Amino acid sequence: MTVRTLRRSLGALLGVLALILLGRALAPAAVIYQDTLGPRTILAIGTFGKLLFLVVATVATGLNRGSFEPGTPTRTAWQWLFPGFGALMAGQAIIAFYQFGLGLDEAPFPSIADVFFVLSYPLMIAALVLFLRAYLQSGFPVGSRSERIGMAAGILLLCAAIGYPILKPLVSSEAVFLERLLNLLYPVMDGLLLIPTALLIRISVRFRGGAVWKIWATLLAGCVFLCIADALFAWFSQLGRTDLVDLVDLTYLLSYGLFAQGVLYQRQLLVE
Amino acid sequence: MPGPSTTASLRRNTSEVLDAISRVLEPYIGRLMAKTAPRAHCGDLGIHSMLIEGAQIDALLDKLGLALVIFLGKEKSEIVVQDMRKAILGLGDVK
Repeated sequence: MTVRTLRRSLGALLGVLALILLGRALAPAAVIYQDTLGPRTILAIGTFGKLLFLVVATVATGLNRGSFEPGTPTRTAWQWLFPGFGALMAGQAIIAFYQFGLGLDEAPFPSIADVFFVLSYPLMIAALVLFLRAYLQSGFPVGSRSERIGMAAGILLLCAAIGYPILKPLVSSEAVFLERLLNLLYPVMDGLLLIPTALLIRISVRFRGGAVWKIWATLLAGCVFLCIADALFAWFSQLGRTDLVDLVDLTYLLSYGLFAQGVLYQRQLLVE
Repeated sequence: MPGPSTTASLRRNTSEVLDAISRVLEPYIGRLMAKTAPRAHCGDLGIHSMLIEGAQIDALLDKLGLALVIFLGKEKSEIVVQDMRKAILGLGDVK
C-alpha cells in the first residue's frame, strides 16, 4: 500500500466517523442512534478512531524524522513532534483501556492518562517553534520579524480576552483542586500552542497550492481543533455540560485525524 | 546542495530562467512562493542583470536546493534541483 492510498483511506474513514459523531451531536434522538449505533458503539467509534489516527500520526512522524538528514533543522523538529504525538497516543490508549478494558462508560478525570496529555503539549509546542525557526532559516521570503512579533502579541491578547470569560467559571467551580488545575492548564497550554500555530499558518499561506501547504494546512488545523476540543472538554467536565460530549469527541477525532493526514502528506512528499 | 555543474558555460535570459525554475517549484511550494523565492535568492546573490551566467545559475540552484532540503529532505531536493537544471538547459541560448 502506498502512502497516498493510506492517506486517502484514512481521510475517507475520518470523514465517515466525523459524520457519525456530528449526526449524533445534532440529532441524538434519531432512530439510527437508538437502534444500530448504541452508546457503546458510538463510544468505540470515538475512542478507537482517535487511537488509530494517533498511532498512524506517531509512526509516520518517526519515519519522517528518519528521512531528514542529520543536521537538517526540520529533523530536530520532527524529533520533538514524535514523542509529542506519542504522549497523546499513550494517553488515548489509557482512556481506551478504562472504557473497554475495564468497561467504564466514562474514563476517570483526572487519571494517569492526563500525565501523558499534559506532557504532549510542551513537546508539540517545542516542535512547532523548531519548525518555525527552520522555515525562517530556509531563506524563503516568509515575512518580516516585526510582523511575526505583532502577530504573536495579538494572539496572546486575543487568547487572554477570549480565555478569561471562558475560564473564569472554571476557577470558581466546586471541582477538586487537581481537576480544576487541569481544566485551566489545558486551555492555557492551548493558548501557548496557538501562537506558533498561527505564525506557521501565516507562513504556510505563502505556500498555498503546493505540497508544503497541504502538510501545514492539515497539521495546523489539527492544532486548532485540539484547542477547541480542550475548551469544550473543560466545560463538559467541570460545568456538567453533558450535551457537549459528542462535540468533544468529534473535535478530538478531527484533531487527531488531521494530525495523521498532515504527517502522511509529509511522508508522501518525502518518499513518493 | 552542490550538484553537477552542467550549466557552467551557459548564458540565459534571467527572467526565462526564473520562469523555468518557478514551473518546477510550483507543485511543491505553490505559485506565489515559486515566483517570489527564486527572485529573492537572485537578489541575495546580487543577480540583477537581464542575462544570467552559468556560474550564477549554479549558485542560485545550490541556494534553492539548500532551502528545499528543509521542506523536502535531501533526496527529493536533489531530484527537484536536477529538474530545474534540466528545465534551464532546455531553454534557448542567448545570442
